[in-house]
Amino acid sequence: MARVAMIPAWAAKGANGYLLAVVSVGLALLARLGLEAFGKFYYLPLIPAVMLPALLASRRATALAIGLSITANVVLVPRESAVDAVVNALLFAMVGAAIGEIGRARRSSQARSAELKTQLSLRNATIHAMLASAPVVTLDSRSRIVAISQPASALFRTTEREARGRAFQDFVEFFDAGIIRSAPPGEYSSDQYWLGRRSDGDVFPLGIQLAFTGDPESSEAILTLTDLSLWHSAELRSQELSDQLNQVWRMNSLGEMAAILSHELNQPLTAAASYLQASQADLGRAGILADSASRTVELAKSQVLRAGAIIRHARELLTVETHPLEPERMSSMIDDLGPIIQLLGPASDASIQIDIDNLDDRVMADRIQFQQAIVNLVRNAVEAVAERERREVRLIGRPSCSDFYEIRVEDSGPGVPPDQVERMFEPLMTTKSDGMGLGLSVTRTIVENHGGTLSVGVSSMGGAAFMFSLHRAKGEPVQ
Amino acid sequence: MNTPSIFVVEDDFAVRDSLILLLRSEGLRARGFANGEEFLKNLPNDPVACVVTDLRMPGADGFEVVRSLVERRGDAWPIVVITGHADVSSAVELMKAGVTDFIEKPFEPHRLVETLKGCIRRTEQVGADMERRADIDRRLNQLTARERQVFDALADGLSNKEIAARLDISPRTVEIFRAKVMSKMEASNLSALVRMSLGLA
Repeated sequence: MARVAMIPAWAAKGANGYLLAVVSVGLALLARLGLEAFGKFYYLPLIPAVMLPALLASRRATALAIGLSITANVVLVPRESAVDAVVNALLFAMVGAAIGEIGRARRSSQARSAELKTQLSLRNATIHAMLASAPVVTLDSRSRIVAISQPASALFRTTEREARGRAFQDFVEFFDAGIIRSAPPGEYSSDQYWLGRRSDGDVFPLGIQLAFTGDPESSEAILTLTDLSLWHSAELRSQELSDQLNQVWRMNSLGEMAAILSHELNQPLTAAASYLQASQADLGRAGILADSASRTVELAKSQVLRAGAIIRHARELLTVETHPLEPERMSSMIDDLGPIIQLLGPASDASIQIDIDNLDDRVMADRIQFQQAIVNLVRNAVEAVAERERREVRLIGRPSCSDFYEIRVEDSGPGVPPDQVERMFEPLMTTKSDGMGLGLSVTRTIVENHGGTLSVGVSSMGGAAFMFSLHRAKGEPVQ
Repeated sequence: MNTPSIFVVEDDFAVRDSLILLLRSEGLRARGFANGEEFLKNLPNDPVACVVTDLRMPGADGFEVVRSLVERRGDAWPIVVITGHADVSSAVELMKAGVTDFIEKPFEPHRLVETLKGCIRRTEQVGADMERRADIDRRLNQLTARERQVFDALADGLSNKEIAARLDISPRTVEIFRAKVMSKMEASNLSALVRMSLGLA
């Protein structure tokens, strides 16, 4: 068999084909000689001689076999008429050519199918390899698990054998195949995830995407799964910080508001109490007749002072607790803020660059309060560049000397007119339609609680630059 | 000599006006300034005075007023700070800087009046000291160079003999100069003379 299989390979090589043609024509002539005893055969016995090169060798070898057969016939078989000889020869040539083409077609289709078979098996192998490494699950029309890849079963801390045949809802809470099927293909968004349930009861965030569905009506569906717990916990941390900052902002702005109100109200109350006291002195000079009026004035004065006491009490309640400053790494405080800061940018389509020197960047800070101040300044900067042609905000941190680390928030906005610099830190002073103008006031209070001064200048981009310095932490860093 | 003036430095008009009215009704002399800068620029020449200042003011704030006054007037101008919000750290800082009192607004006006009256009593003492010192200075200026040398030597506690040796003059001459110094300085005896020299130090 092995030898027979080798013949096509041998015959396919150029010269061998011609040899094959000659040999097969010779053999056919011999066979016809043997058949002479049974009757007259002209071209019929030569047909196999053409078939052989047609199946095994090149087109030219087939043509050679046809040519040789016709020559042999013309030479060896005497014919009555030249017409008979020519017609027979032409007929044979046509039959031979047809046989040759059929043989070729068969051969090339054979070759193609062999090639397809290799390709197919390669693809199968690839898919298998991919399935083995990816969490993939195949569901039937009733959302039962038909097949589950090893990583997918590992995700649920189960085995392929246990999972197969069970409802997918057992593994994913409130799973609804309809939602998956109707979802447009694409990335997971932050709020689109399912709750996977591991066999030990653990629940984890799970992304599910439809990879393939057989026919749209509802046959099998292949789903790819993504464990989002890591991504989710990072998101959660940043969400937590964001909540914390919101809380701090509420307390800070309330405290600031209380401070402003108490300062503003204490002035008229002081004036009222003093005026009343002065009038009391005048009444005193008027003698005994004014005694009653003087007592009334005394009562009015004590009510004014009571109002002052109420304000003082309210203010004490709302005063933001200041924590002692602790050594903190500047880069770490800013890194935590990264996702929050980047969320501020798109509102004004601004690009925010963060450039913090993280070598020897330990400073004395109240972490969350400092972060609040930075968010306030960056938010202001982002709002300042809105509607500008160039929309850039830079947050820059550099040690300025051996004692201080400087933070700058620069923008490419319109900048602060010199005559507004003094006024802009005043509480309740705002150029914005929304907001109470507490942002800068709160920020300044925070900076002052850090022993610094918030100052404003011109940025390298022509806009405003807000800056302040923190004390650098002394001593060895705690690893 | 008049009673010392009270200068009220306060940016809020109503507070300033009411305080001046209050102080005047108590028979005190009061004058107002709208902010620290105006006050420091036009600082009155009164040898003694009392100051009531707000803390939060545009321009030169209360801290700056206090620093500048302590440096330029010292004990002669006691300062009372009134503020809308008294946090501990500024209170400590101001008391250390030499502020007499620190009162949170709104306050019982009587308390401010009493505090200021106390300040005025203190400045009267300071004023008397200053007058005495000016008097001694005036007398000292009448001494000749040689008489001043003898005065210094007497203040150092030297005897006539020692003075003669130090100034390279005869003890008899020292006697004469000593009598002249005593009469010019209006000192009845040596101990009064030495006290005068101590008051100068």
